[in-house]
Amino acid sequence: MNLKTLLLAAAIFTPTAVHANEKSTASWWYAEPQTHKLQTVIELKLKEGWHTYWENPGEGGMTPEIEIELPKGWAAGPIQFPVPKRFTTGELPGFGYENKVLLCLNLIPPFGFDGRIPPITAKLDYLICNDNACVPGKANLNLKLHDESNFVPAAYAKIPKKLDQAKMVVTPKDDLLEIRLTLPNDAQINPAEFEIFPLTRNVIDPDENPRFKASDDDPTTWTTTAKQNEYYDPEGLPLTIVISNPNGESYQIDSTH
Amino acid sequence: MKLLSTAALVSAFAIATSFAVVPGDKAPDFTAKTAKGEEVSLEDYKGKIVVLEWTNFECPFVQKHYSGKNMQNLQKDYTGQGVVWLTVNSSAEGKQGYLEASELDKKVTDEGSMASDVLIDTDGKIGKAYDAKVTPHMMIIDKDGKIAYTGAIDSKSSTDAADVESADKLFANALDAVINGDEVPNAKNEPYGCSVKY
Repeated sequence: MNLKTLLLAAAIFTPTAVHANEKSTASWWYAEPQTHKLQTVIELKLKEGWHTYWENPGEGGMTPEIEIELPKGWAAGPIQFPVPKRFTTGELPGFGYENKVLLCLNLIPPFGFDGRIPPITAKLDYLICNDNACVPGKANLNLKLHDESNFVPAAYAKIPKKLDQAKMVVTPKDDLLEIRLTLPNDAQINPAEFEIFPLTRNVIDPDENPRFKASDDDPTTWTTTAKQNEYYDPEGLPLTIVISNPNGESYQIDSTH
Repeated sequence: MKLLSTAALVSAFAIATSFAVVPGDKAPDFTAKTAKGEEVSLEDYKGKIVVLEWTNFECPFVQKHYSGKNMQNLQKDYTGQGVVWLTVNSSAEGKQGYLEASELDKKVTDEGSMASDVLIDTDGKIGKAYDAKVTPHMMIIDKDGKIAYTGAIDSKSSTDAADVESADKLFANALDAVINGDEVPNAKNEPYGCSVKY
């Protein structure tokens, strides 16, 4: 048995879902090969009552991190997160997921890729908590083909889309932030119907749940105010938000600095 | 990892995010029992630099700093320079990290802790007075009894002990500044870790 066969055997016979701790499992899936990028999904399943964290975890908690053993010539994009929900851990407000979350991550094959996926492994570090305890999740992942053709595309469909035509201006005022959002006339969304999540850490107080209101004098503008984060630095990173509505539509909006 | 299975009721008295303690404020007074059964007060350390380190030995972020001996080395270095180092356990009974006094005393001995004392804060009074959010949350009280630092132990919010070496030493840099009488850099920053299990 040569090395290639061994690697192939390892890829086939390793379990798909890894018990990263007693309370959660992790697995890593890809869609049918594509020429310019390989869409992959990390599936985390948590036992009832536990949660894991978003890119902005809120207070305490931890953003999941992945370290991929990339085959020669391959590259990887960042983890892409679906819309989180709000919760508290003890008394600390946070953002993340309960029960199950599908995280997306693009792999870029080398030039001349022939469509055959080599064995790819990764180490995933994440944290799960409930009110009583926090437990680390450390999973050794093996990339596997998912047998449902729609599994990976459906996960990607839940990643917030960039709303490039939006203009968002954030102005600090005392211990508040005034947020002003302007959309083009033909925008098909009503920001007042959307929940707002601060993707950038330490800008908006995570206890806040601001909502946009239509401006009285300008039909293309919506405004809201929110308490500044305790660690807010006006010279720090500009605010990016994710907004989502009950229909499952979600967008990412960057502020102009 | 041992998980405490006791279901605890979520406190109905969730405290609003407070800006209770900021650098320059007078450090709140406290009296507490140590893991050795003695009683200590902040007043006992008047005129000394005091470090408060919030702990929960089952929290992976605390384990990160104890497994690689980072915390013990900091305790040894700074108590050697006359700093009083108080480790505070604010885990409530039934929550992760809670230990009875004798168990806590054994645990810190087993971990090789070099802290001056370990305070039992099961009712969370000290933690809440100082607005301790996570474990480990590090605070420094200067010789004048004022808060000089509240924040993270370092800049890498991971559970991996291998990250300690390459992280910015936020807490140690602040403590060096306090000892030298210099302005404290980044005196208030976001600590990382598990929420304190009040």
